[in-house]
Amino acid sequence: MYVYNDIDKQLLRERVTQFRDQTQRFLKGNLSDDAFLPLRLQNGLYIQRLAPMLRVAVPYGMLSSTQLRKLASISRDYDKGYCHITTRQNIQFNWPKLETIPELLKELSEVEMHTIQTSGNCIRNVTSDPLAGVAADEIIDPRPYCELVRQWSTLHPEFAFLPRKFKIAISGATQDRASIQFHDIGLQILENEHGRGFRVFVGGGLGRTPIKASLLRDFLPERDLLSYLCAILRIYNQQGRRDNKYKARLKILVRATGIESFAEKIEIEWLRIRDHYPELQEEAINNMQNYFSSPNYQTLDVKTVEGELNRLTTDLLEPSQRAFKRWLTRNTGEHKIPGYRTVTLSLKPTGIPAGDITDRQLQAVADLADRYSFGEVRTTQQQNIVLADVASSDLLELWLAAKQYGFTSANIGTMTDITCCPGGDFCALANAKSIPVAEAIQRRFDDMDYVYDLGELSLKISGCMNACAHHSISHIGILGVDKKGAEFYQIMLGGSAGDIAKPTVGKVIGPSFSAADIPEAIAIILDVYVDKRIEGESFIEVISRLGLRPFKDALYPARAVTLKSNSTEKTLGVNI
Amino acid sequence: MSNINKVGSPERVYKTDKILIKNTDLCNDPWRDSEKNTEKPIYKSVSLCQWRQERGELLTEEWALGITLPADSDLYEIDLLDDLDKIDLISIEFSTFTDGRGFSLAAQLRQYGFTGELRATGAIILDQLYYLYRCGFNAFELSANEDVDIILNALKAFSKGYQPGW
Repeated sequence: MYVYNDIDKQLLRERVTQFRDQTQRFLKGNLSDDAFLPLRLQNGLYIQRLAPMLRVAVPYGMLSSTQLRKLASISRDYDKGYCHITTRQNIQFNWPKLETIPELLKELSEVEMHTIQTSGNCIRNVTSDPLAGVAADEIIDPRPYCELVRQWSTLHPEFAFLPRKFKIAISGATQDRASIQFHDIGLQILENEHGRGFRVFVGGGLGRTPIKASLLRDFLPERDLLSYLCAILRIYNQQGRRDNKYKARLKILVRATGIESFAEKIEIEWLRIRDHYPELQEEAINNMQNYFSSPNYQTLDVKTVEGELNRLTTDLLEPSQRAFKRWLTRNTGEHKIPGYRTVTLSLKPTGIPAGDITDRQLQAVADLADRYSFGEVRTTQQQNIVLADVASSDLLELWLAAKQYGFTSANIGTMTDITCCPGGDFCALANAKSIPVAEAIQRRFDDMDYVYDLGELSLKISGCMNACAHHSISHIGILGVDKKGAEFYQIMLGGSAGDIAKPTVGKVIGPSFSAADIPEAIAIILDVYVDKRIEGESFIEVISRLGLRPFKDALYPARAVTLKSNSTEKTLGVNI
Repeated sequence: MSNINKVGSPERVYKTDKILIKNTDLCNDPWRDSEKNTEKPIYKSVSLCQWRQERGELLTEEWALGITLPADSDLYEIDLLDDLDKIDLISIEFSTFTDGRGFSLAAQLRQYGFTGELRATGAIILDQLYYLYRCGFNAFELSANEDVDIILNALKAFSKGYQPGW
């Protein structure tokens, strides 16, 4: 993991001082609301429905146990004893007091953390693959490049007042676990006869206009990464729309310009910049790679370890052992080193808002990381936490320990592993609540055998079209909408981001539903899937084969559906 | 280009409630003082519009020439790049502090080798001074109400930057 040098530390101290001064001037009335607004946003500070919300950057999702312990104590001392993992791998505090935030930032800086550029119209925290460095399908570890881009974009003087926010994601694996084609810039690392470089995607995004990125450049040599990013950002800064915030993202500029002429503009600007811009030297890249070298894996007797696991999971009949087997199947994954597994701690037990984690749990994650995973964890887009380097021989012990803290819901990758924004309960932007809808779905689908039988299925709920939960790239996406002051929910089907060859935006299936009807509507959709699937076909495969028609027919026969719910017949309140 | 006629027009009146910080010092603005007092100024400042119309004459005179550009100017469309070495002052006028186009314009001017005074004017706030400076500005026109010590501190908000700067 990257460790701050003296310059990093110095800059962070200076930022804390700067923001302390800005906050004091604001509180004394010497800095206007209008002037303070972008300054506080660039420090991750929103004024929310109930209290300020502070977003802490977790660069590309990496956290050390020391940082986790600090987050635990901050949750206790400055908040109500919990925090929230966001869909961009960051951490949010929901209840800090404005006047305490400078001190909170100072505490964060002690563990090399900050809130810089986690909000506002600037380059946001770089996101990446939560399995970086350990995934079996990885070609190149993206983290050294993530850190180089993090540094380059941090306190960037030219790009602090962009038309709108700007997000960069980097992936180095065959499967895309970072949804790079739904970012302003998506970088896919690759290696060919010209050496190491990037396939550059541009102009993707979610929000009210979900757009898949366009391919800007098939191969960018790694030495040119930063000058090329500078060219894209500069063109965007100068030519992105500033007259309408809903049309200000890069995706709109790319679409309006057309990818070919946009690429031309970038090329011209880049050639102008490149000669004046220091190249990324091999030495700098190598130095950065050293921070992310593999930990000291033990040489495990794979045969014995796997044999033991098989024995534990095949022969046993005790319910607890069945639970272990389920967990092993759902919540652990392949690792590049034989005998090791990745373990996902589920933050999705029924009834807890997705991604919420208490101070005690944070402490526990730190202890688990120290004991079983070299003291490091990763946060995920799905709002869970990954222990990336667990020896298979430790799995049973880890499971028993993690169970005490509620981390072992064996639902990773299933429909109850719901990604959910804070929604109308917390967020000032939301049109509708999202947390209660997620809980109602979890409660409706509490039969895990049924859930497992459905297989890999993503379900994401956003409380407004800003799409923080990424509902438009979910197999089943739910969007909260406001209809004349009442909360309704639109369902989208068929979105997906994992397959780099065909990322897809989901399609709205039809008129929206009331919150009460959502679980039943989902049940109808799942019944259609179960009915139509041909052996082994996944939910998303059925949708690509059949389209939305059979789902529509089942949901809206004559646009008023009679449902069987709680063994009584009632009409589903379709809002047309 | 819509701002051309609005800002930096020849009739522009320099308000006395402004101060100028250049190279981290409070100083007089020779362009302002010169235009006020002399028929044939030693310092001449013009709008982009004037520059485009009178480029030839403006370059033949001996004066120190200053041009004011709106922050949304497209450097490749304003016929300035070939004459950068003949211009002594480029003022970039910000219409609102949240519009970051002027930051890129300044970086581009420095990148093309402009070595004269690069001045930020208009709607800028103290909290931007360090970033403006890092983009190549070396002069700042600010409200006379601002405390000079606070301005100078804001210019030194950070001791280093991760990016190449000017």
